[in-house]
Amino acid sequence: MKKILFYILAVSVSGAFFSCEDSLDPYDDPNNRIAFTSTSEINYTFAYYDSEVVEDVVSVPVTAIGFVTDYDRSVSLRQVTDPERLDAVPGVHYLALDDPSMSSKMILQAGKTRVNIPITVYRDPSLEDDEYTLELELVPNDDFELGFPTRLRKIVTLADVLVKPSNWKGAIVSYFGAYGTMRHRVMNMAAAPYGQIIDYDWIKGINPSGSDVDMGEIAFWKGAFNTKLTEINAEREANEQDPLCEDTAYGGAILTFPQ
Amino acid sequence: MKNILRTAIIIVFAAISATACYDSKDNYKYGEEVTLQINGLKESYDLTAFVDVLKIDPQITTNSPSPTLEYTWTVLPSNYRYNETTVTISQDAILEYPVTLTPDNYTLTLDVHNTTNGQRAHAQALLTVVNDFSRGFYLLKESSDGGTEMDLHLPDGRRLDNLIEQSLGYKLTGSPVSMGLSCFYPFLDEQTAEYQKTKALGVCTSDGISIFNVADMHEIYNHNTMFYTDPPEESPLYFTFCYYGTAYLSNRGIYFSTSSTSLARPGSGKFGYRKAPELEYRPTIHSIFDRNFYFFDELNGRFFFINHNGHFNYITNENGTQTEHSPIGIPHELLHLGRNKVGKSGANVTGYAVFKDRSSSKRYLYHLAFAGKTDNPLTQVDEIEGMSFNNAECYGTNELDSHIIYFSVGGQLYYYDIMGGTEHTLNPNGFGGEQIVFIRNKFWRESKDEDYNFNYVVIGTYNAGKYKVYMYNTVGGIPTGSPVNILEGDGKALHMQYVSPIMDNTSLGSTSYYPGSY
Repeated sequence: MKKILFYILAVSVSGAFFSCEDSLDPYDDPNNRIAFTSTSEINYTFAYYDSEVVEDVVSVPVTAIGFVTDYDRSVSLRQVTDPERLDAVPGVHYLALDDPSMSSKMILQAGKTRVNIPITVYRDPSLEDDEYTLELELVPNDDFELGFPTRLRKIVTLADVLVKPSNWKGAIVSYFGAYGTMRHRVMNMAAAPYGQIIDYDWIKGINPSGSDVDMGEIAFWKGAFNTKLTEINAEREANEQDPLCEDTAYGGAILTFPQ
Repeated sequence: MKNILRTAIIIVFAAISATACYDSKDNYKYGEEVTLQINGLKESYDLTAFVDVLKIDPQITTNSPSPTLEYTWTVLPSNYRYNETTVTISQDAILEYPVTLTPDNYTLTLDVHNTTNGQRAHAQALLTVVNDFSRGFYLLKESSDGGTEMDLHLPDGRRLDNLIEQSLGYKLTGSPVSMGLSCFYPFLDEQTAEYQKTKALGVCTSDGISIFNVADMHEIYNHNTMFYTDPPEESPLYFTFCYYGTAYLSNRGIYFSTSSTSLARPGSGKFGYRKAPELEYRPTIHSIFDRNFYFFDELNGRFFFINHNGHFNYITNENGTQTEHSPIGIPHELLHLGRNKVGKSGANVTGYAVFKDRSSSKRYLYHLAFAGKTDNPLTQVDEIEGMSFNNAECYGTNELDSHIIYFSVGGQLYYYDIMGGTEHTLNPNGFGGEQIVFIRNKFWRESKDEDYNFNYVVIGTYNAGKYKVYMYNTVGGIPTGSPVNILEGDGKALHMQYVSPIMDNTSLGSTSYYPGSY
């Protein structure tokens, strides 16, 4: 009996020594997975464009995980709805995902790991009154299983009014002030002569991550916004109007820009 | 009791037995320490680009039995930016490097790696790379055949004439207005699309402005290219360092170009919209920098300042001591604004402003206690009548040593004692009595550049198509002895700036190192 116990103990101890070995096998998972490239919202508005613009394309980047293939693969999407919000209506606010023309657009080409899915959006009059949400969800198909659980859904907001870019936060607030639609409008008026639109991409460009910001450029835009506001207020004063105020939804205070 | 004792003995023996078998796995060896040391590098090296060869033969000592040493010599700008990387200049044991670096201050590092045992050692030195443009007195002058030019007087007595024509191929048109220095001026090199940083001289003329790179005298920008926007219609007045950026003053307003020493993009050096767009104002050239940049608006007869971040501030008539006089709506013509640091520290500085009564020869001397605040800075106004001071053609305030204002009438030099309200003639030794065209208190007191420190009264004169600039040491602000230096050349010199390779944003940030008066 004692011998049996001894052998059991010996085997257990020797097993324990090998249990810590770190096996680093080459990646050989045969499954291909798919996920959205980022989790950030896409805020689209027609408000920046002339009234002749009645449709546009929003690109939604998608990334494959796994080995690349030498053949095209399809990506499958569906819309997620929520009764608590205003959901975008297929055919009204965007080209339905099951429209026959969409199948050729939701293709990850051979040898590629990333594709921008083009979602056609429509300038429906309802967008002037409310913001609508198109929540996209990746679904598995013959080519892909699902990837990162936190990157399987993507929200695209659609509007025909100014909407707050999702990256208007942090340093941008100290540079240009807290978000308000009137502030946003004045900034767009000031930026228009330079062919700029004050949106997510503009903010991303002027305030990149890390220390890559050009404070001289920030200062230039501050000056541009202050100068435009001064012009507006001078005109209002000539018309015996009070200085321009922020929209009431954002507090209604007299509008100013940091120097 | 016996049981307790027996148990205790058993526990002690058991503990000793258990630890007795412990096999120490440590790898300490108490032998002689293996050393690797570098000697033979000096604290600093001053070299001329494209002329000197940096030769260093370091002594490496090691008691490693069979060392295999690898050498890496690198340089990194001392005032480096976030994304700047070191440049390897040699991997030889003995450095022999023909210096091709852009004039600047660098940290030179030698890294020695013993590949036998993995041991490393490193040593550093300050490397100052200069060229002829790096140090000396720059003089802005009206050329004898018209136009604006610049001469450089080097420490070894040589003079480089007409730098602008040598750089651009032509003189700047228009008469000279001012020449200002920005000791940390970043810009976007349009050839390489890369951010650069340098020291820059801004030359304002009656026709425009050109900003020159002190490293190579190339024009960085001019009035057509220095703005983000289309160039405004205006008359340039002055361009100067302003701590976290560069200020540019015109008769249309003040502009500020932000710069950063720590960010990957230090700034483009370009200027945007004029400050205070809500206000119509018309600056004069008279200004002082002392952490904040103060200037006078002749349209509204008042003082403003921008702080070191370029924020515009209205100086008010509130919270002051003066009730009879106001710093707003001053009806007189400003002739001079000088900075005085005597007895002041931090953001506090005295400004002395000389105004001319518009209907008589009376002069008013305003005492201004500037402190970077919008409070009324006016502490005293002196009325001056019936003195030579009332006929003065040039003014210069002593900044460091006493409360006096130098002035001149024709070729006669004077000083006005502010505290006593008296004026005195000055007849410095060796002064030739030529027509005086500018007077300044010029100094450079950065302790890192001690061998080149000075504190002079500088008297610029003109006679028969030539300039002569006299430099005197002072005692209590009064010129003493013979001139330390006399700079001579063709044309009419009107403004002077001293440039040192040691200057950077920190050395001028300490405002007692360099003059702050326009």
